[in-house]
Amino acid sequence: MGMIRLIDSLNNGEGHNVRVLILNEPLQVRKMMIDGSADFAVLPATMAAIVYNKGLEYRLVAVPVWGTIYLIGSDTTVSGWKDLKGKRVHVMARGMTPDVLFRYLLEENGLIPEKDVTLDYSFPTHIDLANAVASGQADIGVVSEPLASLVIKNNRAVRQIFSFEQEWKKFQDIPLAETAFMAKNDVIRNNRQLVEKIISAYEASTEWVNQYPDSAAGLIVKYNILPDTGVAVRSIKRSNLKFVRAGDVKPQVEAYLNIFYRMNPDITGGKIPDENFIYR
Amino acid sequence: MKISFTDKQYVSIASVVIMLVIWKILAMHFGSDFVLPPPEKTFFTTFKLFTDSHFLAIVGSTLIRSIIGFIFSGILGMGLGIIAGINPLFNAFLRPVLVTIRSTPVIALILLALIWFTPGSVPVFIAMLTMFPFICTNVTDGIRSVDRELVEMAQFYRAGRKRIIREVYIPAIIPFIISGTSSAIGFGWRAIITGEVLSQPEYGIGTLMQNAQTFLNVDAVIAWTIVAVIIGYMFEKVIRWSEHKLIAWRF
Repeated sequence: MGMIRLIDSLNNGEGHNVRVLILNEPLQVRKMMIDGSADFAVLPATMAAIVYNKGLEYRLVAVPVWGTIYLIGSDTTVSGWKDLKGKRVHVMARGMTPDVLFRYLLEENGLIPEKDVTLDYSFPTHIDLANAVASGQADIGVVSEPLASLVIKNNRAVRQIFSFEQEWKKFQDIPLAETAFMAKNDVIRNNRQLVEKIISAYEASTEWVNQYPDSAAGLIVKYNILPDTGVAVRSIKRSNLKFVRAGDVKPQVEAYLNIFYRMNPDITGGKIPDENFIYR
Repeated sequence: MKISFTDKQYVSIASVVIMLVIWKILAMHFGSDFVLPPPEKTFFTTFKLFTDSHFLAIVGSTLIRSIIGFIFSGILGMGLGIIAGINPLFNAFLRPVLVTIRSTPVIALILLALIWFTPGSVPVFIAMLTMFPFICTNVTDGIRSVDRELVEMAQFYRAGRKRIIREVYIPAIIPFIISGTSSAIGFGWRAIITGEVLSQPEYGIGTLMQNAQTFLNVDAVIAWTIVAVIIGYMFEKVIRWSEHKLIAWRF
C-alpha cells in the first residue's frame, strides 16, 4: 500500500521498464527470488534473512512497513492475554511471521503455545484465513493488514483484540521491523542509479500515502488491492507504513532477527545475517 | 533359479544407483542447495532426523493416523464389500458412491476436511476415504469370483454354512483383500502426508515437510520424503509377509 503512488506513476508512463507484481503470498515472492526473476522484492524480514543466509543474491535495502498484524475475532470473551487460555486461535502458516510473532507474544505473556492455546493452521493462506474469520468459521485469527480491516468491515461481529505492534512495544524497545525491501546484487552492482531512484520513489510514495490517505485509498481501490476506500483509509492508518533505509536501522533489524533466532534458528535461516546483508 | 534371483537383485541395485547418479548430476548442474541439494548432504540430514528428540513423536503421530484410518476403512470396506458381494442390488447402489469417491481429487477432499475437522483428524479422514473404496471393491469382487458350482456342490454334500464360509469364501477373497490392502495403503499413506502438509497438526511428517519448505531447508524436505518412502516400503513388506502367512494358513 505504501508503494501505491509509485505503482500509479509507473502506470502513467514514467519508467515503463519497471513492472510491479502484487502477489498474495510471501512464498510466491520468494519463488521469484529463487529463480532470479525479481530485481526488487518486498517480503517479511525473517524470510529476507533466510533468503540471504541461504546464499540467494539479494540484500536488504529498506524497511518499509513496521507492524501490520492483528489478533481479530468474534469471540467476545477475550480482552486480555490470559483470556486466550484454552482457546483455539487460527494462524496462517507455521514458521511465517504471523505465527512466530504470535508465539513470541504468547510466551512473553506467560502462555505456552500449543499447550495453553491451540494453534490451528487449517486455513493455509492469508486470504483463506481472512475469509474464515469473516464467515465465522474461525472465532479468533491472526490476520495481517489490509485483510484485517476488510474482515472487520465485512463482519460487524469481528473486532480487533490486539495490535501486535502495540503488544510488541510492551516487551521490546526496538520497533517491529516486520517487512523487508530487498534488491538483487546484480542490479546493485550494475545499476546503482536505478536502486537509488527506486528507493527515493518508494520513500516519497510512502510519505505521500501517510499524508493523503484519502487520495491513496482511491488508488488502492483503483488497483484492486481493496474493494472499498473506507477500508483502505483505515488500513493505511493501521499498517505502520514508514520507509526507512536499512543502513539507518541496522541494529534494530539485527535485534529483531535475533529474537526469532533465539526462538528457533531456522526462522532466520540458521544464523543472523552478516555485514553484507544490509545495502548502504 | 538362484542365478536369476541374484540377477534381479543386481538390476534393482543398479536402478537405485542410477537414480542416485542422476540426482547427483542434477544437483551439480543446479549447483544450489535450495534448488536440489546433493544426495550425500541429504542423507546426512536424514540421519540427523533420526537423532531429533521429537523424531518418534513425529513419525509415531503419522503412523497412528494411518493405522486408525486403515482400521476404519478396513471395517467399513469389508462390511459393505461383503454385503455388496452377496446382494447384487446393494452392489448396484454402492457402485456410484464408490466411483464418486474414487474420482474426487484427493486435494478437494482435503480442502473440505480442513473446514469440517480438527487438524489431527483431517489426515485420518482423508486416509479413510482414499483407502475404503479399494478394500470395498476388492472384497466384493472376491466374493463374486467364488465358484457358484463349488458352493452348490458343497451344499449338495450338506456342508454347514460355517464350513462353506471358512473353506470356500474366505480362501477365495483373501488374495483380493491383500491386493486391495496393498494398493489402499500405497494411496492412503501418501494422502495422509498430503493432509498433514495442509492441516499442520503439531506433530506429523507432513507438518515437518511444510516447515522445512517455509525455512528453505530443501535438504530436510527431501530427507522427510526419504523417511516417508522407507515407511511406505515397510508397509508393503508387512503386507507381502502377511500374505505368505495367510496363504500358509489356508492350506
